[in-house]
Amino acid sequence: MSLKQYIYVGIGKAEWSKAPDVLICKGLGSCVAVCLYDEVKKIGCIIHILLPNGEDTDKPYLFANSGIKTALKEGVKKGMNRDRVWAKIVGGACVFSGIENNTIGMRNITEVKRWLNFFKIPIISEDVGGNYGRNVTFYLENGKVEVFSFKKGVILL
Amino acid sequence: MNQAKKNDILKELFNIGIGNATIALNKIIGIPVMISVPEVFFIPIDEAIEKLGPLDKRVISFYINISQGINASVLIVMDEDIAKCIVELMLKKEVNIDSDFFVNVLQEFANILTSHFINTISNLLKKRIILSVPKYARDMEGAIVDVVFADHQDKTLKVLFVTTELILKEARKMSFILIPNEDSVNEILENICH
Repeated sequence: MSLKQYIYVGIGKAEWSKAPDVLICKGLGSCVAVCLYDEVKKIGCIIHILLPNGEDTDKPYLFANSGIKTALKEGVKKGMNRDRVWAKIVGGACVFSGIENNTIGMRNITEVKRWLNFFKIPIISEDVGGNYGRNVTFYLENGKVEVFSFKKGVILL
Repeated sequence: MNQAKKNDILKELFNIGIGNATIALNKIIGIPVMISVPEVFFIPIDEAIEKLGPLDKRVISFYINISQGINASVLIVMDEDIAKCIVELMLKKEVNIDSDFFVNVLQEFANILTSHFINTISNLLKKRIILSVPKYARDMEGAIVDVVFADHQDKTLKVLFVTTELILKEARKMSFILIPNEDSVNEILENICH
């Protein structure tokens, strides 16, 4: 049996791994963490998306459009089956009151949902929006996602 | 003008502004305030967010938009213990960190600090500059900074910001960050080098 590893996913990055590893994303504000998981193979990833749209070939995971596309390609290489994959999404908040309308966070959520829908990946649960930051811990053993915030404590998705 | 020279001018302007703001701060709280040498960064947005500190650390922050004059924002980020220390020094008593009163006092503090800073710059540029009311947040540092920087990135996904640390007593530090937009930097430089 392999040892459990805790893997930190930085801003504008994505990490793929398999059970029993744990993926971690810290301090999500307007960023969105897209957790993709294949239940049979028990492999999954977090994409730490910062911006809704754009093009940067060096850092595809900064954006919703190129991030999801590249991560799925990478996932297939790692042995994931595209038909079995589901997604859980977390983030897209705006911590400052008074600028809630049309924030980067809201645009991030809309774009992430649009692109997941485009690639026919079902979103089985989400914890998005609001005015508080979140930490995400993704357990690849069972596909559970733990969301921590100072406002609401721990929520399991 | 090359980028290094631009940065130097920006740094000096910032230095004069923050110097004056610190004098005002010193008068309010009555203890010496030290400032570190300002640093200018023009780096990719993802590096910029990670540069400012641990992403999940709980901090208190004020975000002030400049609504007229120049196109820029000011972000003040402080630890909870320095916030408590400032409020205590201002009121000479302890106040509960969760109360509205605490937030209001601190907001006033942010207002005074930023107004002095902007007043100096406004005088130097001979320009009328108007500030918005400071927006308050108490949350994870990463969550605060990513919202602010995502608002200010340029076409090449880089952020320009000038930052300094204000040091009160032992090692209590607070970051004061100016995030000017590209067009306003050119305007400032033209104004000064004229």
